[in-house]
Amino acid sequence: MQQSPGAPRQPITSSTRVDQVGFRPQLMRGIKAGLAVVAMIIMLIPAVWMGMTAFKSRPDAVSVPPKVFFEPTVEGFVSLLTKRRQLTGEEIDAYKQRIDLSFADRLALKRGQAIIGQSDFPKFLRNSLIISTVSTFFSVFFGVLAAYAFSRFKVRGENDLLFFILSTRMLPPVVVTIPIFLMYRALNLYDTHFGLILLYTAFNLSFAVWLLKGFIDEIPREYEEAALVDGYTRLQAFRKIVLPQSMTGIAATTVFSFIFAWNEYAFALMLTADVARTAPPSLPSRIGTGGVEWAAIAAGSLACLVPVILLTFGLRQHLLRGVTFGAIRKG
Amino acid sequence: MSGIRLEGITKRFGDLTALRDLSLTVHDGEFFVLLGPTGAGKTTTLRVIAGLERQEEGAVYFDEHLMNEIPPADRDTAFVFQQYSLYPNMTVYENMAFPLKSPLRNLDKGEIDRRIRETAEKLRIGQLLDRKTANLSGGEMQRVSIGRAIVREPRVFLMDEPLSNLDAKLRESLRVELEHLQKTQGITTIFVTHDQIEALTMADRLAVLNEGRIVQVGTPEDIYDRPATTFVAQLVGTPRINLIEAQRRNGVLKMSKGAVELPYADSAVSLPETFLLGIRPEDITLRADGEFTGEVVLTEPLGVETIIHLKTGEERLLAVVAGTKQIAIGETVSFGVVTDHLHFFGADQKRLGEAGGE
Amino acid sequence: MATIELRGVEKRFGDQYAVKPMDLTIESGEFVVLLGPSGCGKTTTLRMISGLEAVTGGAITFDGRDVTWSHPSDRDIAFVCQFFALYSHLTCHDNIAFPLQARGESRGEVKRQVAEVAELLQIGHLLNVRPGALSGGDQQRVALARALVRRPAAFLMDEPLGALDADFRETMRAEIKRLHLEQKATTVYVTHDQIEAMAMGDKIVVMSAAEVQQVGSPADVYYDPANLFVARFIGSPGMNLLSGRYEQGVFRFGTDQSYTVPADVKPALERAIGQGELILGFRPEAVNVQPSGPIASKVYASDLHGGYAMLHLDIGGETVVHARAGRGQRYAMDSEVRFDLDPEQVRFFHPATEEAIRKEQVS
Repeated sequence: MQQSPGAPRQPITSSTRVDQVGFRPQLMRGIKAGLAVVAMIIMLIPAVWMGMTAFKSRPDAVSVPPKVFFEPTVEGFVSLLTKRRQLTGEEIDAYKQRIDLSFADRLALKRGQAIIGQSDFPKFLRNSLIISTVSTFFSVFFGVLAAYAFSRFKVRGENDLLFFILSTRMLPPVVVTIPIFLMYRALNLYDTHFGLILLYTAFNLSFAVWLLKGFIDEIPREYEEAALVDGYTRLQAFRKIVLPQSMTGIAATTVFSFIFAWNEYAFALMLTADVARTAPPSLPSRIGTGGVEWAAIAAGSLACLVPVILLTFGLRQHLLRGVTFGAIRKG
Repeated sequence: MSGIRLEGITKRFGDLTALRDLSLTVHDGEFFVLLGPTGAGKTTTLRVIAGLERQEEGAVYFDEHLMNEIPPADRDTAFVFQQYSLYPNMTVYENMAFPLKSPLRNLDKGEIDRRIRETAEKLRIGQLLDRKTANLSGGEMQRVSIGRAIVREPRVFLMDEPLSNLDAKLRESLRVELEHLQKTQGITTIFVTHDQIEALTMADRLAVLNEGRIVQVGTPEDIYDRPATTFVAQLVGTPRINLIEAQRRNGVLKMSKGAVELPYADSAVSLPETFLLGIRPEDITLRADGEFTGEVVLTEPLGVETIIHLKTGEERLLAVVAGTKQIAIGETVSFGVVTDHLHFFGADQKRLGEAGGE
Repeated sequence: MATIELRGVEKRFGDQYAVKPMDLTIESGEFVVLLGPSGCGKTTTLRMISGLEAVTGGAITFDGRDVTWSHPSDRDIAFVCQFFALYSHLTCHDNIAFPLQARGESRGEVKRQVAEVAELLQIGHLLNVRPGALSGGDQQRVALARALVRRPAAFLMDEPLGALDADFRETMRAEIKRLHLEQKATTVYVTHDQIEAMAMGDKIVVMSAAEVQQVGSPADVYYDPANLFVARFIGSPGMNLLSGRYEQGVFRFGTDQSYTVPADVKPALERAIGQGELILGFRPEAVNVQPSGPIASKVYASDLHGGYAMLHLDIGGETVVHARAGRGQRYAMDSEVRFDLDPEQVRFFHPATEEAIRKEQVS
């Protein structure tokens, strides 16, 4: 195909038709950039708002009209991470005399409360991390092996199997929560880390196999065959050639699986109580008797957001190549 | 280095039979070409030899050793693919080191380094060693692929259309280099191509394949001068051979639709009454004292030679003359035919008389 | 049929040229080939002529009428591209009839014209078939018929044979040329294949790096390349080029080799470079192998090409010369061969400008 040296490196596929010349290109570019900025602002507002709320004091968080400028405070984080007791008037005075109060204590005291212990939220967050990480690891590990097999070997009934795997995703989870709840109770998996890991791995695996098979299909067989005749076994060729080549797919699958496990709410609510409870079901429980603790909820949401952002950011190079999926440069 | 023998190889893919009872001997140190159109079974043959495909029937021998049960890694062949075979996540050096680092070979670092630098020198890719393969041009990539094969000093090179993705100029120069390299290294090479020029120019011997069968095996001269079938005759040579319906009548050969009559030298072949007459375009010579005349319908000046489309009677003939000949379209010219280079084929498309090669 | 003129036509992206300003006249009825490697700007040029791409400077006229800013459909052209672009849901007949129906011709007239063009291209028997069932060559014939039936002012063809098999390409090449001889329609044809360009073109426009390198007949570009690019690009293999020094009528190169320059080019050479660096070029068929030849070489490889043989001769200094030889002239590798050059076919190039140095015309 024809390429123009001055043009971008692709062949010219979209042409400037004479009848469509008219708008000045610079003007068009300006308008496009403007639209992009507007779209970005609209999409970012909820996230920014959440971030702001996390740092608002209780009155600021519920004030009408909403405050855009406010005095930032970590009150929300304090109430997220601690258990507190309402103090009586005298107790408040007594507390105010004490000089051994920590920064957090003083923040609580402002609202007439005393900190009596740590909340469970850090534990829930840790549960979320353990369960999501381990289940993601298993999904990707088994997913890669299965996808490689489907991609490279003649598997008897391949299409039926692949469809079967996909079909596990077709049932809305809500439909199976009760049976699974009963099964888990009978099997002593209720409120265990292993129980949720098993469930999330099962859910993510189907998706992982399909996604990774697509990526591995894209890797020319010639690479492995060259390794085979060069004196390597199939497993060595897989490790040295296929794995590094499918990093894009693995990264994408990892992020998707992790996000699914991290966000999952319904099963986590049904199948855990205390020991293995994850962060997502714990947040709404904040909507309790003492009114909605908006700042604490926003702080919790922020804490939930950070790991996902870090993971995505860490894998961004691989993910970006994944966006051009299908246009991977072949040696 | 090894000679290679295939005996009665049959390979099926589902309902499709890719190779039918194919037998072949490649001598030690020979440059052997498998030539045929797409789907002829050339690549499958190569993959069976490498052990990347398993044949349903038949046997593969390297020298006198039966290789049927030997996995590809232990056959000690080097495969050069049409494309895609350089590992994109490695540098050129790492690519060339990769086969040497195989647990089978167990070479020490110094030896690996020495071999790579020596090979790189030979192929003039020394300056590329530290580059990532993704940044190489097509020609450089194939040079490195060949380097990766050579560095191993394998028993046999298997090359699957290694030049066909390159542009014409590069193909020409790599062809000559490969030819030279093989002659100086003397490693048994089996080279697959659909390009007749590649086959004729590089091969010591070649096999023409069609539909999973071998049609003819021989030296380039055998194949070009005495093609076994009309298929082979049309496959090699450009422009294509003229194939003309002809009759033998009263001691002369007459084109059914043309005005050309040739004397029948009955010494060589006995001809049936009707047959196909094959004349290579370079055997039709335009000269003032030619016995025949024809009308020029088209000329194609290619620089080094000019293709002339002639019409004689109702028959169309292609002729080739050297240089850029200025002949007006519609002009009548006289021409002769080199009678000792004629080819005759029967109704079954097979050569009448002895075909070239084995 | 139209005469097409390009005056200073250019295409720029930012400050980079896809096509540098070019002038070109395509005479009415002429077959002009735009030839060059990928990325040279030939397709962009064709698309600017068609109006599918806007120019960023210059003017295009059809028969003197300025069409620089006209819509493609107002230019009365037909475009044939590599991927046949036939409508797969229509039969071949309806595909060919499509442009006529768009013009609102009567049914009888459409039928007559389709039949006529089908006969010309020998596809009468395919008219009721859908394109999907046809071979690549037949599909391209139908595409040509669809272009032809409109009787446009000019045909623009963008690598129409690029997607076909090699042997089909040879047949279609001759067929398109025959069609052109019969119709005499102004044709602009884009290809990267120099053989195709030589075989078909009345006039060849060699392009490289967004610039026109040479405009001339096939014989011009083959025998008298304007610069090193054309010398290398045309021919298969391209011209042999030797770097060396010119001193007192002798060209010295390699390790102590020399060649006496034909007397008639000496004045031109001395005017262009005086004494010093020079590049000498010759085609493979200019080599005459003979024991008394001035140039010594070792056989690097020798091979059969069918009707003739090629010798690849190492003349030292990593330079291999390609020589066309008779079939009988086969030599073993590394054997010593001496050769001479046909003085009529020796060309010279300036090493810095890469332009040809031609002998001065005697007036």
